[in-house]
Amino acid sequence: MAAPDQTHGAVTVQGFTVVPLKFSADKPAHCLYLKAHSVREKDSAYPQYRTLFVLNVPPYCNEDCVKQLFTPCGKIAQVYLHDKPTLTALPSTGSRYFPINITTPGFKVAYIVFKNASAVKQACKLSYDSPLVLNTPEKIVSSTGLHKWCQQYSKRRVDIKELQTEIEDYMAKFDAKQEEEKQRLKDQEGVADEEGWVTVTRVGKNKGTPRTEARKKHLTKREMKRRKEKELLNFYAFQFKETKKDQIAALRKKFEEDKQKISVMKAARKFKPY
Amino acid sequence: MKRTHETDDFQSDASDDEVVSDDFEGDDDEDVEDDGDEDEDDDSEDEAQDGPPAKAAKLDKKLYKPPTANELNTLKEAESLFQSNLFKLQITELLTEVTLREKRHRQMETAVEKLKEVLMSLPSGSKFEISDQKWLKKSKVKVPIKQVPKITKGHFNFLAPCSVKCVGSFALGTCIKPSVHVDVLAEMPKECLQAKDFLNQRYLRKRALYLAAIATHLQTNQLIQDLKYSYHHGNHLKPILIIHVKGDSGKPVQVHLHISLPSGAFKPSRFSISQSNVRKAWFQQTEQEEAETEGSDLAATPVYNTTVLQDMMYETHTECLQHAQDDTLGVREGIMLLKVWLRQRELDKGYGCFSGFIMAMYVAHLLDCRKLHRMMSSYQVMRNTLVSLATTDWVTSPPSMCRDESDPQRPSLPTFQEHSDIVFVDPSGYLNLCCNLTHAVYRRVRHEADLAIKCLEGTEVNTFETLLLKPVPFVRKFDVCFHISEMEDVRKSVPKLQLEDSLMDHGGHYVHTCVPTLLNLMEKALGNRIHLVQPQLNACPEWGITEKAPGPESVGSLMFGLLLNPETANSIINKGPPAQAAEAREFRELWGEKSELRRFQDSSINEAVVWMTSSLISKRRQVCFKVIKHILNRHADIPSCNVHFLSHHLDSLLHLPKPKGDNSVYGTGEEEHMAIVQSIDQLSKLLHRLDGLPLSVKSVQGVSPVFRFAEVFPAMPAIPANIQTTNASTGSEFLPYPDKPAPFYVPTMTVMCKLEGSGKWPDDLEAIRRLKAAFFIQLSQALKRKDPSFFVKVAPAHLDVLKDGYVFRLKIGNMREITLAKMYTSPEGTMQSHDTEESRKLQIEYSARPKLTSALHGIQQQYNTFSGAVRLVKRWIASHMMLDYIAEEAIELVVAHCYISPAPYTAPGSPMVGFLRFLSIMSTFDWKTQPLIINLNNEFSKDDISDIQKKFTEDRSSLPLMCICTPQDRLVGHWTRERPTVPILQRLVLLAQQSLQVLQQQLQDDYINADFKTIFRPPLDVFDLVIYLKTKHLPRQHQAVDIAMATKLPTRESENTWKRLMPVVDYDPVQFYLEELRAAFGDLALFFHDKYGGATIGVVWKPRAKETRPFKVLDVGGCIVDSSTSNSDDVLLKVNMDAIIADFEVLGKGLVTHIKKMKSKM
Repeated sequence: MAAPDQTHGAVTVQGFTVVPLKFSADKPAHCLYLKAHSVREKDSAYPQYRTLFVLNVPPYCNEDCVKQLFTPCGKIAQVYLHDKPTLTALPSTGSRYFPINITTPGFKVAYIVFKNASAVKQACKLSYDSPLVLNTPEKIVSSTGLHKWCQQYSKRRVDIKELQTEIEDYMAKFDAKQEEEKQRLKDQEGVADEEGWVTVTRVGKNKGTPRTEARKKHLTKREMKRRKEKELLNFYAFQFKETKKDQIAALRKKFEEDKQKISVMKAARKFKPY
Repeated sequence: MKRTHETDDFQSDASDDEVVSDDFEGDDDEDVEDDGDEDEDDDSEDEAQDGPPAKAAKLDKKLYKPPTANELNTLKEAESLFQSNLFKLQITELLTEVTLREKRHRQMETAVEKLKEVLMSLPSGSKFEISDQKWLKKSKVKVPIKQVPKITKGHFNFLAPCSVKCVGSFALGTCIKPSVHVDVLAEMPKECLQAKDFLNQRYLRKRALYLAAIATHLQTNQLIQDLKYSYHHGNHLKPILIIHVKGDSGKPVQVHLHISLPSGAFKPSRFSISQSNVRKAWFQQTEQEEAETEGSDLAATPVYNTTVLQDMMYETHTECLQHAQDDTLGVREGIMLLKVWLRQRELDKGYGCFSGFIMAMYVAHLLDCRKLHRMMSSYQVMRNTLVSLATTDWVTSPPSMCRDESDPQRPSLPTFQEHSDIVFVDPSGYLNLCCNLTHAVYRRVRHEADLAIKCLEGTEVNTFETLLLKPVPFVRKFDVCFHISEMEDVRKSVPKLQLEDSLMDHGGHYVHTCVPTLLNLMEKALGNRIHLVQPQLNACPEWGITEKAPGPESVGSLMFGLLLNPETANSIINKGPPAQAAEAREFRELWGEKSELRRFQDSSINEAVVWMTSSLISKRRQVCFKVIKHILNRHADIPSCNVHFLSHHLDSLLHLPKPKGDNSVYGTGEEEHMAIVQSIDQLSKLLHRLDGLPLSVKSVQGVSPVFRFAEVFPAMPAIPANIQTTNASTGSEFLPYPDKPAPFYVPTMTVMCKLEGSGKWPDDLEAIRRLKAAFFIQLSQALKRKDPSFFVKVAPAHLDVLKDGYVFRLKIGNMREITLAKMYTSPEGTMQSHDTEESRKLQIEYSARPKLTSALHGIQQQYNTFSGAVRLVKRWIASHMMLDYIAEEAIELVVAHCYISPAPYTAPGSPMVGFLRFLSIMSTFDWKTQPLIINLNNEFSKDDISDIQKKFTEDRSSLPLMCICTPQDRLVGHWTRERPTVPILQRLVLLAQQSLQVLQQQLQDDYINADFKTIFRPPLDVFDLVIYLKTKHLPRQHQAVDIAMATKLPTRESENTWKRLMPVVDYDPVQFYLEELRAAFGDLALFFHDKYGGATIGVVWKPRAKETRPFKVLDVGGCIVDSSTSNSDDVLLKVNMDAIIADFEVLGKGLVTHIKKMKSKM
């Protein structure tokens, strides 16, 4: 059931309903691929039966556009847009001034959480023949191009007071968390767990050496050095002989290497001077 | 393997790409194995059974087997007799490449033998008057010499040559491929000569007739394929016949037939250098030929004498050379290497060249005076000869090969010096081998020898390549090149330069007559502004035997090159002697009315010439042009309009046009860079002194290209807001508005600040981000406290400061962030650090880029043309729409390489030559097998370099495509890790090759009408789609290569306007558009754009975009079901081209006018 004919109502491909989407009526259509969201690992953000999984959301669609498009199917509780499918909803994009998890303006996937399960079914029955149209001459939903960039430019202006308070809030919370963590470690100090093991922490009297990579390297290096100091060099006759042999071998090796280099250069036709 | 599959691809060259990307993976292992196998064959048999698995062990065994004495010798010899083992092997390779194959040698010999027979058995002709040349009419053969004035006396009859001999480099075995020819000497029998033939060119005319007679006879011979005339080393008194003898195998053998005089035909003393053998009365045809008034008529004719004398000395010279290299392979090979060296520098051909013959004679001379030894290796011969060339001055102590002091008639060295610039006396004691060599060319040879020695002694990589394999073309060698276009002017300058006698000596060739004098004049005028001035040596023309001999009028134009002395070349004043001094008269005589008395700062009053008053660097680079034009006009009557300077023609690409009525000056942007650097210095002082901050600012370092003098168009003091609107709510800041034209582009310039150390920074990147923002707020308040009029704009990640009309973007770099970004806890609980995407980014931003900026800033301080060159290069890459696909820093470093390791040249002295050398590096450098090592501040030692090379060969596959090593960045590849990709680099190489060719051609020949912007105009037909943009929304349209008349140009507003208001910064809609396009469709297509005012975006689909693919949840972006597959089980998707092209339009709403599909691709 691959080739969608003009006559059918809903068209499905590997379980996905294909729904054409147009930016405006006169533009060629993209295809959305819809399916009820169902995976083994449940996540509370995507409630089963009420979540619609949409693939191939075009770059000019934001959350509002998606809402606008699918409201006809039923009331929408929440829309999540991501760069690629995720099992769990990502945390929100952070604050206005310090965004995290920013989506890139490419093709995205959407998770639409409806208020009623029936809406999902409704959506999956959308016909291939009547494409969704995002912008009508009366109502422009998605802003692109110069308008968008000018808006973004103005949006980037910062209200210093707001920024200041946001920072203070965050830092207060951060400090509190740090303090809590420290306290927790302190409490743990010297307390054995049920099997009798004591975890060494960074606070407290008996800190131990920090377990870092650099430290480890340092230790092995010291060990090597100590071993080397004990070794006797050029002590036995055979050692002398071997050093000499090594020298000749090194010369030969270099000779071979140079020869190889030359052959590479020759292959690159380097020696044709003019 | 990865790289191939990820390649972003120009599918136009898709098939080629495949091949090359394979190359880049390096299948060299195979070759190596092959070599190994061959070696094993002569090994003992028992090892042969081991098979491949034991290979490593076997190699070891081979390394440790007992050495033979012979082997030990060769191993050690390499280090002692040659610079290094590699060098020796390279020499061997080169020599096998340039020596004739044994078979070909034999072929040539037999061909010459046959020719000899033919020549010896030519029938005698009957006697004619010299002036009677009717006997030539039938065969239509012309006499290969200018017969002006006519000779009335004497007669000529052709007799077969009395001997035919092989001479020159072929006979000696020192000839080098390609274009090997055999020099054959035919001795003109005594019977052809008359007693007075030495006089008035009569011998030379006879010689030419003799050649013509031979040509007539050979014309119909079966053995001969083609006959041509040429001049021997461009000397128009001395034609030769070029005979293409049919060889055994299809390729003809080229024979140069010279004519020699029988020994004892004339006394050598007759042609002693100061003798006069051409009579003025005859030459000027003044009728009173009979009543010669002696004395006044006897000007010495050194050139004429030498020309004749050479014909008598051929054999002795050949014998001398033969003797020098008897049974000594080292000497012979040394001479060959030196010849290759000369040829690469274009010094061995044309009139007045330093020919291979002179070089060979010099080697013989050095052997004579025991500076060389017969036992020396080829490397030692070459090196010692170069050392001698570099350290001895032939002007003050001319070499002489004449050992025999007995002959009193021999001219003394001072006599020789009186008559020629450079003297090198041959064994006979009569002949100056360097008679035609000008002082300028000799100085060039010395200069090159000096460079070669420095190169051999220095830490440079690939010395062999720079010395012997890289060509050094004229236009890339010299900083400034210029042409004298009208030869008629040169002819007229003869009387003005008082060269009538010399003209007679040169047989009427006014160009050869004037050039040495013109050179001396220029040298004198330019003084210490230049290191070298040199005329281009052109290979002499060949012409058919039925055509007339070309004279001086056939010289199209004269090209000269100047090698500037960067310290003094641009000084705008020539300070002369004090007014009363005796030299003052001479000074005034040299400069004429330009010279005037001036009072200098030290209160002395001196003669001086002031060339210009402008302080613009671009203008000051033209001082030399003015000097030369003036001096040529004054002393040689050559009008300035016929002297064409070329090196400033690309300046227009760095120039910004100004609207009418704007009086400010804009040269090529160096001054604007300076202004910005000064402004940032002031800001830095201010920041250091700020108080009331939690942590003080420790260092301030600009990191934008502008601080490296590498911004194509540096920011101008806030370009005004004449078409912008202010937003009422903010009042002090401009905002862009979609319905209005875009405001002129104002870039921000990033400045990295480092704060004093503190242990209180948290161990969390997010928290550090907040704290930095808080610090910016405090910093802005502190600045406001200092000066309330300061305009600052806080953002979470930076602080914009408006100063002097420039917008600086301050950022804070904290090294701790890098460590934090690297940190992660391993499963066993140890803290480990490894590079992540983020840590690399921070590393570049906080450490690599500031270091690079200060290093490149240093280069600009050292070489003031660096800025011009690097910006031309960037402009060029940008104009081909590729600047986004290669890191700017990488380009800057490659240009820096041209300055730091300029060998075989010297550091570029003009932006143009810097640009040319970049193009040549780009088009020839073998990125696959070599890292580009840039020894900034000379921090690399020789060991470091070999270490890097070793590592490079070991891990080639994991290193970036373009490997650029600096002392800060060894093999990390900060700048080239991700960009460029294989197809981009390939395209760049291709463009560089083409552009280089076009530009050199324009400089060389087409200099009058050439449009130097040609190479800056990209072809649009390589793209699949072209997106056209509305020009009114392009904030940088005035920077375009070609701008329309209607383009609005930025005016500078008065200072008051910009002090109060923050302009719209970093607002370039095209960049926003490109960002969105690349983010959305980057995996399907490449988007090319010239950010300096380009009005188009070129789109190239990646091969992926045209393939169908199976339905996968992760891979459906922009796809529709491919309706051509009707099988229901495996559904295939194809890219929804139409919708995506429509998306291009949607995303660029308001900016895009239309999208055009290119026909050639559809």
